[in-house]
Amino acid sequence: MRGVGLYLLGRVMQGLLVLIFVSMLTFLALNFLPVYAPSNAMGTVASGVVSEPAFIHLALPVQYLRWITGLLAPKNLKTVLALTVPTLALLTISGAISLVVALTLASIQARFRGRLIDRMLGTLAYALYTLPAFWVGLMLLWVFADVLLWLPATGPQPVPSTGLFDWPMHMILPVATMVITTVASWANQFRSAMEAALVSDYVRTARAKGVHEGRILRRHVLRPASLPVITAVGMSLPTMFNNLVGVEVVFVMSGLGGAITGMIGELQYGVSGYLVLAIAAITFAGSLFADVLYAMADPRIQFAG
Amino acid sequence: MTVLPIAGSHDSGPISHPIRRRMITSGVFWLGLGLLLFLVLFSFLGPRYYQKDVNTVNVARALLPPSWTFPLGTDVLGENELGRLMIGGQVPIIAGFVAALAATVLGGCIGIVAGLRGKTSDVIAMRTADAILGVPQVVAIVVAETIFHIGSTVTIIAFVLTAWPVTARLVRAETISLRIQPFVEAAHATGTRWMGLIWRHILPNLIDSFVATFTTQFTNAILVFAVTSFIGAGLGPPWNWATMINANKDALLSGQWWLIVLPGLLFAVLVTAVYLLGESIRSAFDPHTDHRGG
Repeated sequence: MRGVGLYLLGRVMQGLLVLIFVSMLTFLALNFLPVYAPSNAMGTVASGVVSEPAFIHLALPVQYLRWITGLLAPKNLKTVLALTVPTLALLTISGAISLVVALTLASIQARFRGRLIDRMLGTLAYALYTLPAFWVGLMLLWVFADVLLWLPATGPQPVPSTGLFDWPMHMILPVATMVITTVASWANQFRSAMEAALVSDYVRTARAKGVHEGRILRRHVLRPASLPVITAVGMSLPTMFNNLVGVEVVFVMSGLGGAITGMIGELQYGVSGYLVLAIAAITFAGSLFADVLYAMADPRIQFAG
Repeated sequence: MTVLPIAGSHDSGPISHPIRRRMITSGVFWLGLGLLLFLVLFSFLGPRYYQKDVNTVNVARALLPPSWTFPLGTDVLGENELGRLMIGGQVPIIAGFVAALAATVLGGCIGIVAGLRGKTSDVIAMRTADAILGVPQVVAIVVAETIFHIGSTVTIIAFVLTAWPVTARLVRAETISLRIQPFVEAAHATGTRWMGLIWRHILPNLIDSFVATFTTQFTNAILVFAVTSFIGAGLGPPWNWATMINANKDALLSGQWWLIVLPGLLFAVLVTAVYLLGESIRSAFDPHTDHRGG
């Protein structure tokens, strides 16, 4: 396990470098916004009659440092965290559920490959993939919150503060939307991975030995298929985020996606730079997590760098 | 000059080339092509002949159900839904195509260079690609629009800059596997220059990868642009299906569900058409697939 630890450290350092680089890029971009209002990443200060960019008298690197440490200011930190937590919750919950559902679907497809159920599930998965996430969300909203009146029409709202049992009810539809779209994009890849494992030699041996089919699936197919599965999951975080933005807008959730939407045309420098950093951090954490699993699943990875 | 028909011989006309033959006899190919052609004609030729009340706001007749005057009813502003659906398709098709093309070309060039030259340029290219792969396209587009201005150019450029790594990785892997093949080594040993190598030996073998990755980029672009249009990060005039969904989303409550369902379905049809077309072309190039079923 020591090898995994070292590998992890290397990856974390790499990722931190990328994060720092991204933060510098963000800062520069916000600083030189070619807009009519003379301001920069730090906002404006009223000096005399007109307002001018804040701290413009300081050197650029110093401004950058002030901006970065500004993230730790309680006010900024609270805003950013308040926005990040709902998004993270949505991402992790839908991710976990999608994983289970997609794996189950893929196992069924691989087990009965070539037969009707395989093709039906494949077509269904593909059909769901072609639909925009926000549209699926709207449809679910319409059916369950409008026509059937079973579920509330928005995601969790901070105000008025909802009771303990309300949060799950409010999360059902957004999570369902995310799960549908994510499973749609994962189903095909998981299925190929499982199929590849199913036709391998050791599975043939196991069958020849008389091992029960279900046991074969669990012990001999799931593990080698897990590598492409982990890769697919790790690489799909950006796509999940794309869908998440749409879902957060449809269900009026106050998360990173909704905040990003608010950035359009509004030039809100205050926290927007930090939001971008938060998103970058989430994405990086996701791929790091995937790398950890990958390195644990296949020890050869660590040495390949 | 007649050619005597000999039993078992094949006409050596343009159709007989095996790849083309596989494409033409494949049902999937025609289905995809047909759907795509329908959508293109619907979006571009439709508005030329059918312009009834597409842009005239008349709230008095808003949200009407389908009728003879308005085959698909009217939307929240009283405009003709069918006409708006027609025009709404222009932007996804064009913007998606352009963005996918640019991303494929850019990614392809970088991939080929990285695959052929190797060592430093390869490492730089791939590290950059890995870093960019972690950026969600929607976020990149929104950030770019905050910095510059809202518009199609910014959107497409932001998309291309975040989408090329996917193509680059694929092309690079294929290039490397081609580079170590004997025929490429032989060509190189006999003194063929780089451009000749690329042009004559590598590119022809990359065509099916290019088609496949272009298809993926196209479908990606369509879906990403759908989200950005929905949240208001404009994709230039005129409107498109996603902005229609956004404008009419309250109509779900008042019962005009088709105003939302139809644009969404059209998106699905577009994506499906592109995907089917790409799949059939790709599998036509692949000698291993069973082509009898079509």
